Amino acid sequence: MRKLPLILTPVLLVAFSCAKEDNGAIAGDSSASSAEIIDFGGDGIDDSSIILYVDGSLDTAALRACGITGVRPVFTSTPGKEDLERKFNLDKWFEASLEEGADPRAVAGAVSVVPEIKRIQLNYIMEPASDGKVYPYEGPVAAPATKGPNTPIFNDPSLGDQWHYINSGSKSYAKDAYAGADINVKDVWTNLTTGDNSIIVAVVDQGVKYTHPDLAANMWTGPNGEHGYNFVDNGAIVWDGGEDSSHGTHCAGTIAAVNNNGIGVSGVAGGSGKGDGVRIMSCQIFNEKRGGSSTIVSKAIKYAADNGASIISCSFGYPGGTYRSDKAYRDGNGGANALEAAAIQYFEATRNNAVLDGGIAIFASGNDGDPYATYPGALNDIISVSSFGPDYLPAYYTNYGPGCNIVAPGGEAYHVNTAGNSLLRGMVLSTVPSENEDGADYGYMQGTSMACPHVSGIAALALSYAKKIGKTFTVREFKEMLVTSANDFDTRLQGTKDLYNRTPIELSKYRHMMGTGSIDTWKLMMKIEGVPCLIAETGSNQWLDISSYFGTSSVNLTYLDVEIVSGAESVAFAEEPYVQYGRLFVHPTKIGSCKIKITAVGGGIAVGGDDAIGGMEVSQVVSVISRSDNNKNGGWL
Amino acid sequence: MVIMKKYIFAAVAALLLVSCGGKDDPAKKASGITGDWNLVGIEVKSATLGSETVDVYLSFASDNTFTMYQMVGTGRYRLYTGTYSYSGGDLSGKYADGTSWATSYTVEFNDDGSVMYLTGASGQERDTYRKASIPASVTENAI
Repeated sequence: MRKLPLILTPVLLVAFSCAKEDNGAIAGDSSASSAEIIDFGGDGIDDSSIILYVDGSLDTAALRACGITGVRPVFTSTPGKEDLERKFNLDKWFEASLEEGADPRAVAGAVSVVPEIKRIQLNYIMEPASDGKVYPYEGPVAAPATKGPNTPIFNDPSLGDQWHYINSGSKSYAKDAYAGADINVKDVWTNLTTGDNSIIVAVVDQGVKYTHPDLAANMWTGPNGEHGYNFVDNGAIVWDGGEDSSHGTHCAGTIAAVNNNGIGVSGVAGGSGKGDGVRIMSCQIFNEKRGGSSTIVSKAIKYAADNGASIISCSFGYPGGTYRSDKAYRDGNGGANALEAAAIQYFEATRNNAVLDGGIAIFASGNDGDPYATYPGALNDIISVSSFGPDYLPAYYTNYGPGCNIVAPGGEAYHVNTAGNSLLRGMVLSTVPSENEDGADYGYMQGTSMACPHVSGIAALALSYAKKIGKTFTVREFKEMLVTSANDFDTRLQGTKDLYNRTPIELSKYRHMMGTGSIDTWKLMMKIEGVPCLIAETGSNQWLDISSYFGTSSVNLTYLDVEIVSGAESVAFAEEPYVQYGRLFVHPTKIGSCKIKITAVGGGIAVGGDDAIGGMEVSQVVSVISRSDNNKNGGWL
Repeated sequence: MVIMKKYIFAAVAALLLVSCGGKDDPAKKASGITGDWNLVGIEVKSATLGSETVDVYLSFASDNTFTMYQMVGTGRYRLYTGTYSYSGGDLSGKYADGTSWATSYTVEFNDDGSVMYLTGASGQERDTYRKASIPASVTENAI
């Protein structure tokens, strides 16, 4: 993990002219600049380009004197999307190629005097949120879960080894496996939905092996037969660059490996074997050790938006600790908004399905073990996912704390079997390219990179189900539902956690730091159907359970506001409602009903913003009916 | 079958009196409670409740067990079961989790026994149920 010191280097230059000094550096000959450059230092930047935010026309000839060999728009404009592109100023971002050997910081300083250049962003490199290692899969071990006597949910032979979907607590996963340490998807698969092939999830990652036998049928296919695009090499998607290139294929399998096809594994939204799985679009931003720059990431995200994706699954981020607040993140990228943040906003404003008015971006929180999430996922309005192991405890590597919104299975090495021997089965099992893995099509990986696609798959299932029952939501409403469809994760955080040959991990540090709790697929589907009213008794003080709105970790959340939005006169509260210990206090004096808006922090104790990383502000409108006769179990009689 | 939704709790003190004239002999209709019922009206001595959707199906079995499917607001039907006691026009019961009903009810029927009125002990609320079969879409999807 790199800690990049903040080095503020305002460049004060005046009239624009550049001269190359003997040592190859670029010097600006001026006395006042039009753009401030904030440099976080470190060497994690692309030394072949810098990013310019331009308002006006550039004199490219003059730029060449500064060591810039060419300037081109970062984004290709898409017909019909011009207004949206302009809304997020995507038309103002340019990528400037540098002379070989040029120092990007020096060039940035030199061109900062150009009046039309309003921001300069060093082209920082993001990295996958995983150690990149694939561990071999021994073949089917555990019997798959069933939906009836001898009737497996899917006939995928390895589903039983995917504890992260259905965890029976079997010791074959790990000696300390915990029943229910999963995403609670079983009943959703058997009763509600397994996916919808009109929902597209873009895996912004390494190239996905679109010919994989357990993925091919669920790959998105574009008008020219393409399954995505390789933004690293500007060409066809590749995945066979060695063992470092399986990350994207693994994430894709978690989202939508083909279900019920008689081979391999299952995917969260992989369908029922009838061609109804959600579709995977491969937006390749890494190729082995190359790629991951801000420009590559941003182009990939815009491509996803322009080609029909409803969700981007982003298992990458800046190196841990690069930025520690939304303001620092934005400033650190040269101005009011980072390039990739603008691309994310563009994506979330692009409507590609009948359910939402935009798209959903989901990020991994990072694997540095830091007490904060990494950016861009740490932005307060973006979902960032932390990781737990088969023991329903925080994974040893996971980032936690501010910026982490929810937790999902990401797998974990170093668990042991009942004999005390190390085993691999506590990690996440999914698809891998056989070219990189000695002919194997499946393998284990661990990381918040693996937790992220679980949530992406769940979001895709939710969109599929909402479409099926005709529900529509705003992007914000959908995020709020997702983040609050969670289970208590704090109760078990006491004492230490022991892993094979590792220092015991003190668990108390994770309390109230693992987002809103662990994601629960069934609860999200019930939210989509609608949450029943809370029933109060007229004339009494009472504390109503709000876990149906905020999840069973509602007692652990920080609440910001309680506001009666309608019906105050109907119920005539004796005093203002408030939330304490995760329960809503009310004292209605009249029979009636009302709606109360409760706002909480979706992860952490404060909403993120300019000053610090923080959680997402989430609101739920709670319907309350006041009756003269009421009991405690919610029954009408 | 009528499924009344978006009930308005109108101020209906007068309505409560309408059927209190003893034209239905509770004892005579004792056996009439058995069967399936759907909530079609809610009346309270109060101002409006609002526009929340409430739908309740009740099924009273002859072995003194009951099954209830309710949707209050939004979402799918919730299933409740338990036992009931009906005697002399008074109805009371207990849920399977041991929780007693919030109140006992005075039961009245219309002339042909197709409509049942349940009035809580407080007298503040009277619910109207109509004989109705319970749709499979309700029973199959309830949780």
